[in-house]
Amino acid sequence: MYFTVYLVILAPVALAALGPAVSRHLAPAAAVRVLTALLAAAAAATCWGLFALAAAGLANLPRPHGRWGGDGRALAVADPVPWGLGVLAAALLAVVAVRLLTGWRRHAARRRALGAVRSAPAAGDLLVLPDDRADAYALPGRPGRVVVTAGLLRALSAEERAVLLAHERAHLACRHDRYAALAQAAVLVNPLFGRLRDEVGYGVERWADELAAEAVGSRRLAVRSLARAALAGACRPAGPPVLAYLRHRIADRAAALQGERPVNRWHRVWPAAGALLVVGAASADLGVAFARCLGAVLSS
Amino acid sequence: MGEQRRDHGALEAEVMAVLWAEGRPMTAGQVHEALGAADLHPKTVLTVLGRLHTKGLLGRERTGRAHAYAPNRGPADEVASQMNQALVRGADRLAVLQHFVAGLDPADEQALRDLLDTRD
Repeated sequence: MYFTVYLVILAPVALAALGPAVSRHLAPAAAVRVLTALLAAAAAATCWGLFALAAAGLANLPRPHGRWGGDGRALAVADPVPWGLGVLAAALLAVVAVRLLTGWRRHAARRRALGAVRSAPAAGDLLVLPDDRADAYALPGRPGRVVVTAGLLRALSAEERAVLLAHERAHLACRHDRYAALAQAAVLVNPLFGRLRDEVGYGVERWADELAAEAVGSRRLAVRSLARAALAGACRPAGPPVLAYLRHRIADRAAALQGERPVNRWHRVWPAAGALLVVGAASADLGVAFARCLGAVLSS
Repeated sequence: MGEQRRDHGALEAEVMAVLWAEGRPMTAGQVHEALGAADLHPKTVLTVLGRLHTKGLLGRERTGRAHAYAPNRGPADEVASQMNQALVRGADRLAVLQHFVAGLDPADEQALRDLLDTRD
């Protein structure tokens, strides 16, 4: 159990390192799904590992009597986690819980506030902001809305606007917000997943780019629209710093659209699948060890 | 039925986008022309304009025999202020909104300009 716990906690880091390879070898739709699955598994493994360490370590707290009424020696033999480590793991677990809770509450508050926007009269699914800056985004939910500034509409031709609308509608139709939210939650559990989360953020944009190119029937037109929109936005002050990680990737998106339509090369993502398998096996092993431990405590 | 309604919604969005992009009052004929959709009947455009007017999104004035339509500022301002209120609360916009473009550094900017020059 000792060894497995650390495997469960450390393996996610290996998973995170494998992320970029996944998005290189898979088409965006598959890449986002695989990356999100990796993140969810890795975050769950982190929580499970911390929980096991905390429970096992706290049970070994130096006390005259065992934690559950027994003398505690049975547990100490079955499970040699030092109590200091258990306290540390419990503290980390509490931090994770608080971070998730605050994240969730902030998310919910924002969704509520955006509800008013969603029920405003719209032209089909389109809301126009009377803003000269160039910006566009998808507002997910029911009903979903595409929000575009007047400045961006003016900067694009009619067919380029069709790309823009198709791109944002792709976000809504494929519920890209859910992948993004899950990735964000994983980062709240373990900040080491930041890079993988960014990869998901890039992946959903690529995914929507591909669907938009398909919808208008021209990759060239899709590139042109993206370039024009980016340049229209570039003349303005930069956006919120939190989106900075997407900043360098417009050129990547344009380059990807200039190339062929991407295909999945599943055989190239075996390392990630292998790592996932190891994490799964370690988690399961930990579960068995944990159950045995609990049995030892209860029977003592 | 559902398919048809979605098409109407998409058409409303396109018409609205044209009117905001042009920034001047337009008749149904002018909107039809700006849409550049040959398979679209002019009468359909007129119907869509009427619907947007009913929703309060468009204002209209009579010019000769036709109506000229322009976006109403009011609903758009309302949405903008609600949007700002909602976004001020949270810093990480990624989880709620997906932006079409998020920003650009100078090297990328030049690359994109070159790209547009060669393709136009």
